[in-house]
Amino acid sequence: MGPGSARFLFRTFKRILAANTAALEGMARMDRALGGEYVFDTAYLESAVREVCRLTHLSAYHLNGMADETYVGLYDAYLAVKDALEDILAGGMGPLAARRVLSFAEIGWELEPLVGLVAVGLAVLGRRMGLPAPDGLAVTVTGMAELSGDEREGVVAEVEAGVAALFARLGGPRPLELTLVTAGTDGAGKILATAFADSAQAAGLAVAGFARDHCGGGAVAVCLRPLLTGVLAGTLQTLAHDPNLPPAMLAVAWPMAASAAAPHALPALADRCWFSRTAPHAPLRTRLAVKPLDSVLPGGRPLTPSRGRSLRGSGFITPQQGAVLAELGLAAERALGGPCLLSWVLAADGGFWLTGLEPAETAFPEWSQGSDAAASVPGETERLLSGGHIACAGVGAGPVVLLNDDTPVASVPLGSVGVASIASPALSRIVPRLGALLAEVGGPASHLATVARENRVPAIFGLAGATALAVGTMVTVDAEQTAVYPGVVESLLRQAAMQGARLGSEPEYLILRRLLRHIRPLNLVDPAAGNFDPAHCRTCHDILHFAHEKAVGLLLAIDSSGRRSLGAPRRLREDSPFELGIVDVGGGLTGTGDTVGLAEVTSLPLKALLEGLLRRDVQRPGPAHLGLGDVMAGMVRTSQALAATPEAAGANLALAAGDYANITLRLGYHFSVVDAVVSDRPEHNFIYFRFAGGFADGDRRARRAALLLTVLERLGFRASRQGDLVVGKRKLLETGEALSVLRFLGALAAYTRQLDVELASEDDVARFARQFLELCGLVPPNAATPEDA
Amino acid sequence: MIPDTPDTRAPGPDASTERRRTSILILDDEPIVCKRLKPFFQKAGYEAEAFNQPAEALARVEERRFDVVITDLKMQGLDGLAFLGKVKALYPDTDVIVITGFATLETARESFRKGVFDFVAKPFKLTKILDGVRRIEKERGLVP
Repeated sequence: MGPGSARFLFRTFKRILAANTAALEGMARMDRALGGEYVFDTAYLESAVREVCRLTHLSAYHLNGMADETYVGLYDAYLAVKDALEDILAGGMGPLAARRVLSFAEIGWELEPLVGLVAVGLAVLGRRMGLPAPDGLAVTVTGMAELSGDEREGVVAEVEAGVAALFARLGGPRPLELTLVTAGTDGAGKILATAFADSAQAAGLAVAGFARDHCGGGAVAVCLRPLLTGVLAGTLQTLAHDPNLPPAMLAVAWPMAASAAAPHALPALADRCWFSRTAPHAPLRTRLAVKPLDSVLPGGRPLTPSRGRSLRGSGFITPQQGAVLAELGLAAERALGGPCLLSWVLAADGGFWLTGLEPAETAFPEWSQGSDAAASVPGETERLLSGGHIACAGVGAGPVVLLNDDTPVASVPLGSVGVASIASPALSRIVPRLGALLAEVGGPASHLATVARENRVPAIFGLAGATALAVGTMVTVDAEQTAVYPGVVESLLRQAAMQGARLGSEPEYLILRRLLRHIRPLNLVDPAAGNFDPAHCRTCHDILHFAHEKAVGLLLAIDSSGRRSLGAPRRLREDSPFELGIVDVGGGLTGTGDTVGLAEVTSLPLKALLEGLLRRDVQRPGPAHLGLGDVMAGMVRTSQALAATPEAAGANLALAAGDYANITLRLGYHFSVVDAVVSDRPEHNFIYFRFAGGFADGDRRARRAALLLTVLERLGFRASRQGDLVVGKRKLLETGEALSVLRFLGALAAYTRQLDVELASEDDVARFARQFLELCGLVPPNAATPEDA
Repeated sequence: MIPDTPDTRAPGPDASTERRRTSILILDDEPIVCKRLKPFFQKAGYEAEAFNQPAEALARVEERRFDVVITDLKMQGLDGLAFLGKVKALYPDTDVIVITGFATLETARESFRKGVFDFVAKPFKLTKILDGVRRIEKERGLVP
């Protein structure tokens, strides 16, 4: 068995699979550590990075073994990622450390020491979490340091260019607000100075002025964003201590000054209102300013003066607005990992904008250290539910809301406790609104768990009985204890708030976030795209994915005639919708002969897929009805197919081992690939599905792709679609679940064969998706599908 | 070091009938480990104190006895095995759980030879270390 032989290719392919699986497990563990599931230290970070790097390199090495060193560029990509990771472990900031100006789009939490808290906060809250926060840019610690040296002109020019780019994104020049903050590894994000500018040049000068005034005063950074104006301005302290109140939030509100010179200056005329930290955030106490008669009040109508010429008893913000503000504050606090002080503006249209943030100034150690701290925590007997796994540590309280894939985002009250039967990726869009998340089925390695961690929403997955919680009742979720308590348990919330204040800013967590930025994101998703090459691999995940995709491609190119010593395929002798050749690559088939029956298939994943494929009830009868457009489109594709090599247009082929199957189906002009490992070890199991092509016009092919996407998401796949290309993946499945999913995929392949020509309208997508899901028992008949909404 | 005021029980009519909480001392020179473990055990109903400095932890165990000691193995100043030896010399019935990021078969053997109850490799799940403490409670009869 030499290099290039089919058996060598297959054996090497399995090594790539093993390396990728182990690397993805390591990455998932690092991700879960970020969510608080594991207790770790710096030694773990070093060993975890070392192992993921080793496996990534191994994957690249084996791919080059399969491809006769075609992808040596992958080694360069690997070395670039490894250098960045080693720099971060050594205390550096990675490749971005040399940048002097960064736009918000480039900023994640892990860059806090480089750009300061206010820029990182606004960037993440606005761009990643979808909260109302402005676009902007940051002058980094590096940029500010270089402004004091020989590079002054260059940095100022970069600031001006960055501002010009911001203006282009905003649709024109705007007045800007500039904030100088302490940064670096020891910088707490304290605001040192504020300035305003109305042009790129003025912004450059203001930044240079900051550098001059604070020269030698430690690491600083500057945040630049549009100066937002509105009816009111204010602050929100997300955790305000008052010995006579339960844990509260303090909102301070004042009318915005007309003068642009001091638009956020705190005037004497400011209301103070303490809100409950728990939904629906009732006001606990107010201290309202005595207002002159010309004050603008909610609704714009002055109230009748109750005493002299002043208004008493009327707040600038209504309790409803206060509740919205409180929820924004809690979302920011979750993301920040601890209490903070937010600045906000109430726009003329009634919407809030977050304009800045600082760490909370006061710590209240007595809250978590007090004599009754532990004694007041509820015991195990008081739990409504317990069990499952930590998807993201933390404590949250709120009213119970049942979620499913069809739940409209806007219908979920901010801060509620979402409960789902399955941790489906489709729930990702709802996560930022939640105070906590529970799922009966799902694990901490799932996509939804990653989303919960990104948003720092406390979450427990695999919690039996969660959907039996009464909708609307208040509950407290303590993910760390994997427990749900009735009502609002203030002692837990208080302790979590204090613990979070320390944990969120711990260097180990920031380093881990920074490391994951170079490990976890998958930038190369479309194998057909022009940039799907080694030079565009930016992360370990990119390299692993690239190696897997190319290795699958090399396997598919094996000549099914058997000339490359893989052996001749045996033809499936069942009543299949199409011909299928099966090659046994180790424990996949029993018996001998040119043909093989289903009973002789011993490959677990292939057998399950065939069981679905051979289902009579899902096969679509009769010839499809073709329109002229379909025929014309089909003719082009037919001529392309005729021009293709025999290998590319070859028969349907399955490679089968005991625990592995790779099935390539060319149904008509559709091209489907299923690649699956199913063993008794869930951490090794995965299912990969790819579909492209069709015989109908572009719209209909896209509709079919939409249908596939709908079904794949229902099956729990992390799926994406571009045009008529659909890619779906599931990992870390229990054996029974993996086999069940493969049966559905087989049925789906049979059901959607040539279906695209029947998809004349968007309504048909909904109809056929519902019909298929009903056939498979995945939704009750007549249940609404997303397309019905 | 994390502020460590020993928890005292709230006075009141029920204080005498309240079950004595199991006491735990946590020693790890990585602050992040103490910051995770101390509040976790407090929430689970334990009396917990945490130290980053072996010398301070040693001074504390010389003052009072703990039911359970959770200690890192490799620390600057005083080795975890040496600390565990001193604890065992003072209080033979205190059970010790060792946590380490450098788990080898040899260190595990050495730990068990010195009377360690359990050996947990970092990174570890909170539930794993809680299980260890609960087993100690059961074996020592600390829970009804």
